[in-house]
Amino acid sequence: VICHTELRIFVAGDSVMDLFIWLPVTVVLGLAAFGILFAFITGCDKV
Amino acid sequence: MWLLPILIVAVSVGLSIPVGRYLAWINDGKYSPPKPLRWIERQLNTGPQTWKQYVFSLMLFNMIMFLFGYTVLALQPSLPLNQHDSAFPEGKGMLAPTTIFNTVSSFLTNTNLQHYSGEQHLSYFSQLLFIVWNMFVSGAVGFCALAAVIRGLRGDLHMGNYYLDMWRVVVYVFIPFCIVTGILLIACGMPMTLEPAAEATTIENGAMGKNDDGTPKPQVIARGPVAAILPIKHFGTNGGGFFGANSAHPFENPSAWTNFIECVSILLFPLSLVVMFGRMLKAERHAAVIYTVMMLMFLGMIGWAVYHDTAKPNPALLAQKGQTVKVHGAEDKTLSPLVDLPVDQNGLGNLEGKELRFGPSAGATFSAVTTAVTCGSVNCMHDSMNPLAGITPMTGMMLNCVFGGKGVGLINLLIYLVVGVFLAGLMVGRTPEYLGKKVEAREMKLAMLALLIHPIMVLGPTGLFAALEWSKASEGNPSAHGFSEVLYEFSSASANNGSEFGGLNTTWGFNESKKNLSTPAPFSREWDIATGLVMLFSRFIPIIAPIALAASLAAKKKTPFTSGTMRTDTITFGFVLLGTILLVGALLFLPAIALGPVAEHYGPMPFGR
Repeated sequence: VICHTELRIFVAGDSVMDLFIWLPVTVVLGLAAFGILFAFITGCDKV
Repeated sequence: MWLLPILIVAVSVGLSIPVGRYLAWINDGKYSPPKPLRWIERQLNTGPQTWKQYVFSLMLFNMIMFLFGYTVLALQPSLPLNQHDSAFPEGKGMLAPTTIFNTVSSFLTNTNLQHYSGEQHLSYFSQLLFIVWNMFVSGAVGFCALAAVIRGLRGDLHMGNYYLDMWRVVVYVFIPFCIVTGILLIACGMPMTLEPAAEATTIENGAMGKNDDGTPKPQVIARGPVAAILPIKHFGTNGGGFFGANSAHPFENPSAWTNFIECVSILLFPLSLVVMFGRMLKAERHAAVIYTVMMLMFLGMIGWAVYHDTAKPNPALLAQKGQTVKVHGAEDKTLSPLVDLPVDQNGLGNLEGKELRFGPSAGATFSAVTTAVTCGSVNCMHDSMNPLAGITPMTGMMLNCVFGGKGVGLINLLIYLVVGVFLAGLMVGRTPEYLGKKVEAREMKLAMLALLIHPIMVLGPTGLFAALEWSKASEGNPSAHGFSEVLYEFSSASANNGSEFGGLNTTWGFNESKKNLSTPAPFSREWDIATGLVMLFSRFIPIIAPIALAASLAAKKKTPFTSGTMRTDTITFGFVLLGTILLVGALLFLPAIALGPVAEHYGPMPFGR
């Protein structure tokens, strides 16, 4: 359970990243990188 | 001056031979484990794997670790062992999401680049469950990859079993070595406690400032389970510090003795793996040639760093105008800027950013050690080294094969070796061969993929950031030194080294900036994401492609040895290998080095002032 104070939506500002945007974006970014690497494995077979 | 590096190298070389034999014995499965451990091994062993199965298992394991690490860090405020002290009365908060991404990618890839400060931003739970766990398994991944490559090179039909290899490295190699070294470090004064930060009343009343009610603030002294992290930090060539100051912190490196132990711990496995390579491949003379080539480069790196860093004080210091004194009956005299310093610097070289308790050459030596084997631990600020001495850590990370990180360093060297064999074959007009197998177009394509990803990941983002405000607004120093900071950051990320040059402002910290002790860096999001992606691609592509290459060679018939076959166990071959590494390395990275430390050295204004 994520602490309530951490999950609240912050008013857009320079000093806080909006967790509802940045948490999923960074997780998907990591998984996308892994997706590319899995594709690279398949690609190596076809070299 | 030279005694410390000589002792470190001599002891590491001496230990690498028996340890290398032990590693080969373990990786070849010649040991007989106790019954409970044998039962676990049977459960883990899913059977022999082809190269694709092996690499898929490796990547799947790492992807699960990514999600696990992300979850632990995101839930940090709600998890146990979140110590409260006067600096953080509510405990440690949640890191900014991009910093979590960067940190997870960093520890997953054995890089340990830290866009946070350990004692400020992580709870003991995060340190123990996330950091230590990743240090063990990410270190073992490189080991496993090398074992798979060796099996391919010796012509095995399968690459082994990834899960079994991982188990063997963690349980029979890392854990015993870490327990012994941890006890040794505790005996030398390293803290090992779950107590929160200590609070001390300073002798000078109010030396740490005063509270709103006028009472003096106590000094908060961070501590924690440091000795649990330190051994694997070095044995796993991880390098991530419990404290922000890493091994320059007196609790993370209390004395000259611990400094010596830490240096030997960093070098031990990377050196031993070359011995293991020779044993497993039954080609010990060939391994001796590789060991010698790596050692020559390593000695060159140490010699260069120690010579240039101890030759003269920091040029920025020398550029200062000293105090002017009046001399009776003569002209006023301007004294050297070194005169007022509390330590006599004559003959000791550049002492800025160094821990004097380790000795004057310890910083330069450590910088060469930690970047040659891509560990990333630091005991001095590389940013403060003389410009030419700073070339050493950059070279170590750029070549990335001077023993290199555990397993992957030797794999990188084998890629250079394949390129060298190919070039030599072209020169004498024969089809290139390595270990009796023909090196053809497919192998060369895979070798080039593995070789080129590193310079692309270093130079591409460096150029992009240098051209944008992202770099200028983050650099601690303008001009050539600032460019060195950016170049170093991406070299460190791509080589999976993790050390910081210093001076570059990349830290956001806790997501809620008011909880941070310092203001978030203006472009920390960009730095977090860029270096995070660089770490992921630069880690796994040079693992995947060489395993595919080794499997490709394994499937080929062995060609008979003739008088025209190029031998790989001779001094001549050693020179071919050394020449290939230096030539290719210089072509790829020398222009960037020229724009950074070399320009700074020859520039009229040191450190860009």
